[in-house]
Amino acid sequence: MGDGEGHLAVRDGASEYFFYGSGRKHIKYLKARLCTRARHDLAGLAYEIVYPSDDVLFVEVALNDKAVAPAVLAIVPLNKANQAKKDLDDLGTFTKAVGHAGIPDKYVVLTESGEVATTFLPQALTARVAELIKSSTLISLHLTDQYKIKPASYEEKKGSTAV
Amino acid sequence: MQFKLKQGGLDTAPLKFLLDFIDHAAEAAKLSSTAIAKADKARQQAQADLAKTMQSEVNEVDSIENNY
Repeated sequence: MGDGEGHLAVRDGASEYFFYGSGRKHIKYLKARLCTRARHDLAGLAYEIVYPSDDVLFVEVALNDKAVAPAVLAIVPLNKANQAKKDLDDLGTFTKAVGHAGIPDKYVVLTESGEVATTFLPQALTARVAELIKSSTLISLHLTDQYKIKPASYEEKKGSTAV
Repeated sequence: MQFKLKQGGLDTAPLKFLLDFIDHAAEAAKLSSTAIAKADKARQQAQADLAKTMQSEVNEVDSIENNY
């Protein structure tokens, strides 16, 4: 874990840090981005009086090829589900909201079919999701084998893979 | 996965959950071929619907161009 030079986190600005890890079963790599509140910035702190924010950790895990069956599944807040379907091409194209017992009312499971939700979220894991939602810890979870954002053209796709 | 951090240090529960979820997903892929087949069918249907919508849009543009 880290950048290979003894640093666990790489600083990328006053309120952003990156983490990198690898070497676990089923996982190619893990990238995490920690976005903290703007504690260094007086104007930012004043802004937070009106629009409060939190320290948020974004974790992206790339899985090994064929480690997980091709499926799209997301757990998102109910009031942001439509926006997520607009913003993320895989959710917009393939998923629908499915009822899943144990998920709190203010969240929704978006997936291809109810069986996928049942397979990937058995009762024990659902209970843990519910716990994380109730403690206001989990913001969202998204499992996919698709592009999050559909390349608009071949040229654009070529450009994005080169980066 | 996105989650909020609590004051006073990193709560490891969300990360533990994420790793358990990945382990389970890898196992579930082997176990539940029915669910995966259903997902695949739903996906093919969604792709077919999308292709149909796109084709009808192309046809519409073509007909406008032809009439013009």
